[in-house]
This record gives sequence, C-alpha cells and structure tokens, in this order.
Amino acid sequence: MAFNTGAALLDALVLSVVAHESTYGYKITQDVRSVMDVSESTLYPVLRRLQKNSCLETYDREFAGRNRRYYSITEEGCSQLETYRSEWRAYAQKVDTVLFGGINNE
Amino acid sequence: MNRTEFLAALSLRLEDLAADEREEAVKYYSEYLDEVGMDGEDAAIAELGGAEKVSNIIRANCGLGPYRPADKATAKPELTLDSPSYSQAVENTVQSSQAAAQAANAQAAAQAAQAAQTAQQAQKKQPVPPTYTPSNPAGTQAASATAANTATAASTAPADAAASTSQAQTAAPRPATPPVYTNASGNPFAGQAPDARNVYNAAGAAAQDASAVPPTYGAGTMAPPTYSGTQPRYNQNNNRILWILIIVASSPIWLGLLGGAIGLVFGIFGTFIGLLASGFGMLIAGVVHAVLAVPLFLTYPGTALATIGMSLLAAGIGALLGSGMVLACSKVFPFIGRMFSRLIGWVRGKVSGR
Repeated sequence: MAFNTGAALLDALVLSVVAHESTYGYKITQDVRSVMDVSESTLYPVLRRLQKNSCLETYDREFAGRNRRYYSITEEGCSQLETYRSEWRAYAQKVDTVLFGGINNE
Repeated sequence: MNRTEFLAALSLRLEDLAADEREEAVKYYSEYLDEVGMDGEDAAIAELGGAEKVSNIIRANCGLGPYRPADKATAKPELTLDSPSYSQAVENTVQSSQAAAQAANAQAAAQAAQAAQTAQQAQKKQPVPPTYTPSNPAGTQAASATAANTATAASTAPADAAASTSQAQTAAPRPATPPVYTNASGNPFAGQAPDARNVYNAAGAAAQDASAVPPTYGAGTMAPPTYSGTQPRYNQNNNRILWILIIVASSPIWLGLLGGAIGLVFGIFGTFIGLLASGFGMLIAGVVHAVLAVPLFLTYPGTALATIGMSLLAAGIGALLGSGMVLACSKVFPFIGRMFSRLIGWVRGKVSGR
C-alpha cells in the first residue's frame, strides 16, 4: 500500500475487529493485515498495549485440545473506538475534499 | 529456526523484562504458532521475522533498546511497560524510607529523654502522683469514688509493675505525655472493686493510644482522672537479674522436681537393665541346665526329661525377655535423652536468652 499508516489507525482497526467479534490473536492479525500492510510481529505489542489501557480484555477457551486466548472489547475500548471512528470520518472527508475537490470543481 | 528454538530465543531475548511480561509474550507466540499448524510453522516464523525482530518490537514497546547480552550485567533492569525508570524509583523509595527510619529513631530517642525529664519534674512538684479535676459538678459524686481508687492504683502500681516486667518492658520507651486513663462510659471505676493491676495496665495501654491521638474532652463531659507518676523503666539487665532471682528463689521447688525427674530416669534405666540381665540370666541358666541334665538320662530318665523341659522353657522365656528389653531400650533411652536435653535447653534459654 502506498499510503503510510499510523499507530492510531492500527489501534482503531484492532478495536474494530474485536468489537465485531471477540477473537484470538492470529485471527486479528490476519484481519488487520487484509486491509493494512503491517508485519505480523507488530500486532502483539498493539494488543498488549490496548489490554493494558483496559480497552481490551482477554479470556481463555479450549480449542482442539489447546488453549486459545480470546480478546474482547471493553466499555472503554468501545468509546475509544467511537472517537477513532469520528476522527477518521473527519480526516477522510478532508482528504477527499482536497484529493477529489479539484475534479469536482472543474 | 523451528518452533522450540524460536520460543526459547524469544524468552532469552526478553529476559530483562518483568517475568509476567515475558511469559505473556511467549504464550502469545506459542498460541500463534498453534494456529498456523505444524506445516506452516517455519514459514510463519520467517514471516514474523524471527525471534530477533519479534523481541525487538516488544522491547521497543517496553521502552527498551534491542537485546544485547554483553551489557546485561551493567544495564539497569527495566521491569514494567509503563515506568521505564522503575528501578530508580525503587532505589529512591528505599533511600527515603531509610532516611525516614533514621529520623524516626532520632525523634523517639529525644522523646524518651524528654519523658524521663518530665517524669522527674513531675515527681518533684507533686509528692502525690494522682491528680484529677472534675470539670462537671454532675460527675462529682462518681468521681469521689474514683479518686480513692486511683490513689490506691497509684500507690500499688510500682510494686505491681515489678511483677509484670514483661509488660513494662514492651512499653519501655514511654511517650512524653503521661498516660491518661480514658473510660468510654464516662464513669470510670464507679461501682468497681479497686483492682490495682487492671487500672495500671489500662493506663499503660491507653498511653500508647494517647501518644498517637491526643484525647479531647468536650464541655460537659467529666474530666477523667489522670495518672502522672514516675514510670518504672526496665532494661535488659534488670530483666535478666529478675529471672535469676526467680530461679534462685524457686529453687526448693524446681530442685525437688529436677531431683525427682533424674531419679525417675535412673529408676527406669535400672529397671530395664535388671529385666535385661534377668532375661539373659534365664537364657544362660536354661541352656546350661538342659545340657547338664543329659547325663541324668542314664540314671533317672524321668527326672532328666523333666529337667530338660523346664530348662528349655526357662531359656525360651529368658530369650524373649532379653530380646524384648533390647528392643525397648533402643526406643526408650534415646527418647528420655531427648526430653532431658530439651528441658536443660529450655531452662538455659530462660536464664540467658531474654
């Protein structure tokens, strides 16, 4: 992807994925990587940080005879996600205005 | 790099992180590789960038530089994610708490000195230690009974304190304020038999509370009787002398008991030795008689048979008794020895230890 993407967008995407459905680290990594070009090893620190900031919480479930740690979103995570969403909307509109504005005005 | 190598290397490269932080990371990647499955493991580890890249990213998020084993001896360990200067904070806390402790010691010493001085002055000024001032006329009636009690308490207190040295010792550095006896009911000692010991101890206990929170009395409540006599203070030496005195004074009792105990031990010892000896004696005598009776067969076969029978019976009993006693001795004597040395140790501990 040509565009540089910041840590805030990564946080927002992770929160969004987990808000949709409580899921486990590998799945989150794959989902985020489907839209954003980040290395696999970047996701763990993000999950850990969001967990420490009480945006995410974890619980363990057994799956196929082994443990799977699931991440789920907290109240705090939800409000954080709402903030990210509104900021992204404002940001995307501004970018759109500039990026496509010239074409529309001609 | 296979899964095991990867996880081991990752753990090593996170060794200066807090243990739970490290375990969390290793657990995450262990589960991550479980999801990938056996076949994709090597490829997934390569995708992740190996233990070096994975660990460096985690370290960077904990505020640490890349892992360098060379300077781990000199590097300050960073323990948590959120506070990079954690170790320094701990150091500071330790130093400040040490300083605080020193200050507290100095203050306590000053207070103790002041307390001694105050006590001396109080003694000079007031030949009769107990003072009490009723501020409320309503309380006068009850207080008149109290005054007598308090006086009794004060006069008997020093003598009583001598008997309860362990209590006095624990409270040895008395606070500067004289102990104030407070009664929650506001009607101290009324209708109570004057028990000097209780009163004194209560005053001592209240003194510790009073040193922390000075007691306040609102208008209309009866002023409690205050006790401001000299405080008997005991140090280690006095206590030790007291113990020796107690031991000497009570010697008629414990010497008798000790003598009895020693006599009992020797009595048991003697009994066992006697039974042991008689057992072996019977065994030997039985065997000897059985052998000696053999020639009698030629002359008196009946007598010989009876003698041999009796002798063998005696030998059997003797053998049983002897072996039984050997067994008993091996159990009983070490037990007595242990009990005795424990008693000696306990007495010695009382004399020298306290």
